[in-house]
Amino acid sequence: MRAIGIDLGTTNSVAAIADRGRPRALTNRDNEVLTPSVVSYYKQRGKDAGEMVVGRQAINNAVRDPANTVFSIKRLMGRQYGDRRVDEVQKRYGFQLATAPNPDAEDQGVKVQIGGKTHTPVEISAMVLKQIKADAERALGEEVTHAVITVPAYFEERQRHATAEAGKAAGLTVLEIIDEPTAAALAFGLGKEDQQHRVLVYDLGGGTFDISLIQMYNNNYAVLEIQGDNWLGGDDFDQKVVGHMTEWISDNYPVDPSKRPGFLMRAKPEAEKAKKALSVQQRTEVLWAFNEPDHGMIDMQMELTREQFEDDIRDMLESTIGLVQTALKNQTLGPDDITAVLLVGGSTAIPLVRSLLAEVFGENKIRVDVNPMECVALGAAVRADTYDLQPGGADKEKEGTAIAVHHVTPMHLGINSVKGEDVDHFEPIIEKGTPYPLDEPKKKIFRPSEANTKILRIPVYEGLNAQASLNELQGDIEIPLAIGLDLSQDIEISFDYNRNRVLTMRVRIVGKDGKVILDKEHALAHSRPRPKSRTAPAAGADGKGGTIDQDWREGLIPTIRMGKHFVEGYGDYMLDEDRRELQDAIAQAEKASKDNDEATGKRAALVIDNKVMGSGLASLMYIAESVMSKANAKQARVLAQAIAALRQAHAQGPNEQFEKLVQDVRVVIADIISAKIDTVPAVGPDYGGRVRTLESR
Amino acid sequence: MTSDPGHLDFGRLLSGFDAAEKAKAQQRALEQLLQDLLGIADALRELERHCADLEGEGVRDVPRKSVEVVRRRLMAALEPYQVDPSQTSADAEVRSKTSQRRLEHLLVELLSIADALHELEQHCADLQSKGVEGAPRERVNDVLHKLLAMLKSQQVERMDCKRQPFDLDRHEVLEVRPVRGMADDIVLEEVVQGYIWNDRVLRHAKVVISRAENAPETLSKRARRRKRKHRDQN
Repeated sequence: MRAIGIDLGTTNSVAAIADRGRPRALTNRDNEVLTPSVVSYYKQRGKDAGEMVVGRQAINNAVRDPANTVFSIKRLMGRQYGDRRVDEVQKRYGFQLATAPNPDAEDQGVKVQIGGKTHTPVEISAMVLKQIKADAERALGEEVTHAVITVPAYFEERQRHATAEAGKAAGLTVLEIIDEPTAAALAFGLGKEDQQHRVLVYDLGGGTFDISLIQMYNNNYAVLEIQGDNWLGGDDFDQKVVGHMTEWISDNYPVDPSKRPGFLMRAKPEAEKAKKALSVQQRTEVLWAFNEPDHGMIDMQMELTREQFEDDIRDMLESTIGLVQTALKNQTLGPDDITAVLLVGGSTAIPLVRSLLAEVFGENKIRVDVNPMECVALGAAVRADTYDLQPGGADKEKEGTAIAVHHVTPMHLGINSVKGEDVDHFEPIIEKGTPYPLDEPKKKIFRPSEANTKILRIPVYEGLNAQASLNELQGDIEIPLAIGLDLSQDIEISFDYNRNRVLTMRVRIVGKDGKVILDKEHALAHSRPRPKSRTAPAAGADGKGGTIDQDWREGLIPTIRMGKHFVEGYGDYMLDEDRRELQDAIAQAEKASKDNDEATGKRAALVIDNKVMGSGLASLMYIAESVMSKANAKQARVLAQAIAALRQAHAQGPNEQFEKLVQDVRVVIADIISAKIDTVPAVGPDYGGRVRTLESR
Repeated sequence: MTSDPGHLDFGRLLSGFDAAEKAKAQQRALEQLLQDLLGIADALRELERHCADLEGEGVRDVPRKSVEVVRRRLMAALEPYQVDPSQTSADAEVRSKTSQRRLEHLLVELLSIADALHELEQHCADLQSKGVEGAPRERVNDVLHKLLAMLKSQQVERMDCKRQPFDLDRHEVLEVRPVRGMADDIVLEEVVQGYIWNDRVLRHAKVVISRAENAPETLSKRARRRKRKHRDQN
C-alpha cells in the first residue's frame, strides 16, 4: 500500500514518491519520467475490437488515427459545450467531440468521441492515471493505492471534483487534490517555518504559462493571485529556432525545406538541442547534414548565439513579466514583498527567463534548486507522504504534518448598481483578498433606483474595474416583486462564498412595518477566470475605468493580446489585406511598447481595435463568441450551434446558405443583447431595475 | 521504519556495493566507447582529406563539406564527456544513474551521426549513378559500418521496419499513404530509423505506413451488393 504524488499535466504527467521524506520522480515503462497525457484508441486492421493506449503508444498512433487520439484533455475537464476554450482545443487537435446534447438536457458537460464510444474528460484522464499507477507499481514493485493529484490553481471546483473522480476511476484513493504552485512550494521545502513567505511560482511549460502568488506560513498555503497564458510555452521557442534553420537553408541552397514533408519533424529535435545548448553557453552551432532529394546534401553549419535567440523570444518572455507585474499590482504588492521566486517547467532553464525575473526581484530570490520538470510531482509526493495510510480508507495526516491550504478571493465580487447617474457602477461586496470560506456572509444595503420598482435586476460581477461591464459577469438575477418599492426602502444584499467556490447571493427586504417583503437566495456557480484580453480604458476624469492599468504600456498589453488572439482564432475568416494590416499593427504596438513610443503605440492600438471590430465575418465570429459569456445557458447553446453551422458553411466555400447563416448568427446575437434591453423600463432613466448604491457609502 | 544503529543493515550494504560496482562498470564502458569514437573521428578526418584531394584533382560534387559537418558534430558530441560530473557524487547509486543517463544521451546523439552518414552514403550512391567519378561511397560506408558495429557492441541494434507490420511500441507514424493492392499498416518507409538498446526502444522509428486502397471494381461490387440488399429489403 503506497501513496504517490501525481502531476497530471496538460501535455505530460509525472509521478513521484517520497521515501523517508526524500521525494524522487518515478520512471515509466519507457524509462522516462514524463508520460505524455495522450490517449488513443488502437485497433488493428481487420480486428473487431481495439484497445485504449496511453502515453508514448498513443503518440505513435496519433497520425495513424487522429480522430481517435485525444490530446490536452485537461483543458476540457469540467467544461461545457458552448465554452470558447472547448472550441480552441478542438481547433488545434483532430479528435471529435460528441454531439452537443439537446439544449434542455441537464448534463451539458463536453464529451469526446473515441473508438466509437462517447467518453467524458474524467474517463480519459482516468486512463492516463491508470497508466501512471501501473507504471509506478512496476517501478516500485508494490501496489500503489493512494495519490495526491495536482491541478492548476485556477481550476474551478467542478474541475477539481472531476480530477478526483478520474483518480477514483483509475483505482486510486485520492487523498487530496492540491494546487500545482502549492505542490511546487512543498517541493522547495517552503512554508514549514513560522516565518511568513510570499512566493511567486513562475511556471513556463511546453505549451502553457501560469503565475501564482502564494502566501505561506507555518504549513498554511493561500493562493492570492493567478495569471497566465493558455497557449505560450517552449514549443513557441523551438519554432523560432526552426525558423532560423529554414531561413539558413533557403539562403544557402536553392531549396525551400519547409515544403519538404518530414522536414519540420526532423528539424524540431535539432532546434530543441540548440535551444538547450544556449541555456548553458553563449553560442552554439547547428551541425546537421542531410540529403535533400531534389538537391543533394545540405550541410548545415549554422551558428546561433544566445543573443539572437533571446531577441527572438524576448517579446514573449516580456509578456510573461507583464503578467507578473499585473499579478503584483492586483495584490498591491511590490517585488520587495516577494520572498522567493520558484521556477517550474522546462522552459525556465532559459537564462533570459531568469535574468528578466532577477531584474524585477533580484537574483538571490530566484530558486532553481529543484528540477523544474519534476517539482510539482515531487511536492505532491511530499504531501502524500504526510498521510498515514489505513486499510479501509480511514487515511489521516500523520501527527504534526497537517498542511492547511486556503484561498483568498483574487478579485472583488460585487454587483452592478446605480451610483449617481452612472448605471455601470461596480459595487464590491466581497473585497479581493478576503479569505474563504467566509465565517459569515458579507452584506451591503442598497435602495431602489426608481420609485415603485416591481422588478429588481442584480447583475453579479467579478473584477477590479470600477466599471461593471469591464469585469467578468457571473450571473444576472431578476427578481419580480409582489409590491412596488419606494425610493427609501432598504434592500439588503449579502454574499456568501463557500469552500467549493459557490457564490450564494441573498436578497432580503424588510418593510417599514417589520414584515419580510422578500428573502431569497440564489446560488451562482462561480468561476475564477483566466486573464481577459479586453482593453481596459484609461482612467477618466470621473475616475471610472482603468483602475488596474494606469500606464499606457500596460493598457496596450491586453490590446496586443486581443489582436493576437483575434488573428489566431479568426484570422482564417479575414481578408488577407486586413490580416496583414492587423499583424503589422500588432508588431508596431509591440515595438512601441519596447521603445516607450506612446503616440505610435496608441495609433497601433486604434488600428488593432478597428480591425478586431470591423473585419466582417471574422469580427462577427469574435463578437458572437464574446457575447457568449453574457448569454444565459440556453442562449449560449443556440449561439454555439449557429456558430458551428456558420463555420461549416464557410469551410464549404461561398453558397446561398452561408448568407442565411450569417443572418442567423446576427439574429441570435441581437436576441441576447435585446434580452437585456427588454428588462429596461420603457420610460424614465435607463436603470433597468438595478439597485442604487447609497451615496454615503 | 526505524533502523537499529547497533545492527548493520546487510541488505542496504549489499545494494550499495552492487551500485558501486555497477557505476564502475558503466564508467569503464563509457570510457571505452569514447576511445572508439575518437577512432571514428580520425576515420572521418581521413575521409575529409580524401575528399579534399579529390577536389584538388578537379572532381566535382565531392561531399567534403558534409563529411566535415559530420566530423564536427561527432567532436561536439564528445566534448561534454571530457569531464564526468557523475564521479563527483559520493552516492554510488547516483553515480550509476548519472553514468547511465549520460551514456544514453551520447548513444542518442550517435544515432543522429549515423543518420547523417546514411544520407551521405545515399547521396554518394546517387552521384555514382549519375556517373560522378570518385564519389567516396565505399569509404563513407566503411565509417558508417564502424559506427554501427560500435553501437552494436553497446547493445544498440537497428530495428528492421521496412515491409513489417506497424508496431505500436516501436514505430511512430508520420504519414498514412493509400496503396492499392497492399494490406493496411505495413511500413512503407522509415523516415527516421529506429534503434533498440538493451531490449528497450532507444529511438522510435518514424515511419510511413500503408492504408489499403480498394480497387474501383471492389467498390462497384460493394455498391452492387448494397443495391441488391436494398432491393431485397423492399
